[in-house]
Amino acid sequence: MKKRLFYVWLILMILTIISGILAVIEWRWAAYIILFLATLKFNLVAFEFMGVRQAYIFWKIFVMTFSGLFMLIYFILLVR
Amino acid sequence: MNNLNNTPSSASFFYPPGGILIWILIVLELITFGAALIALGIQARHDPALFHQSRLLLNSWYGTINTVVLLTSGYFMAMSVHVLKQGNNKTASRYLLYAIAGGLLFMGIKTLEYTEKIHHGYTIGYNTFFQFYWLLTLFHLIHVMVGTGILTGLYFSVRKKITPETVENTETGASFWHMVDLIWLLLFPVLYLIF
Repeated sequence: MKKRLFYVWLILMILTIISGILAVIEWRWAAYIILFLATLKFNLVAFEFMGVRQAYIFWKIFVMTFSGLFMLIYFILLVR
Repeated sequence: MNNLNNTPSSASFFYPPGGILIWILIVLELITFGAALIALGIQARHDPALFHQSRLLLNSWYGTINTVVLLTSGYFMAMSVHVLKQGNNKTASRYLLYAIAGGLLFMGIKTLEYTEKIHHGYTIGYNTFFQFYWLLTLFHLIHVMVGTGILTGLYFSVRKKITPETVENTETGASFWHMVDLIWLLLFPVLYLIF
C-alpha cells in the first residue's frame, strides 16, 4: 500500500509537470490534453488517496461522472 | 502494533471514506466550485481575447508549484491514515506534520502571488477574469486554512493516544484535505493554463 501511494504521487507529479509544459506550448490541442490530465489527476486523488477505490459503487460512479461531465462541458466550451 | 482498522465498512453506501456527513459536504463543494468554473468558461466564450490576455498576467509557476505542494501534502495525509490504521501513531503524527507543512507552504506561496497581483493593480475589480480569479482562489484558500487547522487538531490528538475514534476522525479530516486537493485540481488548469 505504501509503495502504491508513492507511485500514485509520482504519477501525479509527472502529470502536473506535463500540464505546466503544455501550457506554454502554442498548440491547438494543448488545452484539451491539460483538461484530460486534470481529470485523470482528480480521479487518482479520489480513488487512491481518498480511498474511493474501496468505497460503495455509488461513490465511484459519482467521482467519475462528476469529473467526466466537467471535462466534457469544458471541451464543448473550448470549441470555437 | 494493533490493527485499528475497525471503522465501519467503507463498502457501505452510508460509510464512504471519512463518513457520509463529510461526503455530503464534498458533493456540495464540488458542485459549487464546478458550477462557478463553468460560469467562468461561459464568460470566456463571450470574450476569449480578454480571458487569454488576463490568464497570461498570472504566473503559471505559482500555480504549478502550489499543485505540487498540495498533492504532496495529500500524499502525506494518505500515508498518515494508512500507518494510523496499523496502529503506528508516532509515524502517523510525523506524516500529519508534513501534510500541515504543505498547507502552510501553499498559503505562503499564495500570499506571495496575491501581493504581486495587488502591486500590479490586478485586483478584483480589474476585469471579469480577475473577478473569478480572486473569488475562486480566495474561497479555496479559506478551505486550505480551515483544513490546516483541522490537521493541526488531529496532529495533537494522534500524537497523544490512538483509539478507533482517532482513526475515524483522522479519516474524516483526510477526506476534507483531499477535497481541498480536488477543488484545486479543477481550479488550476482552468485559471492558469487553458485560456
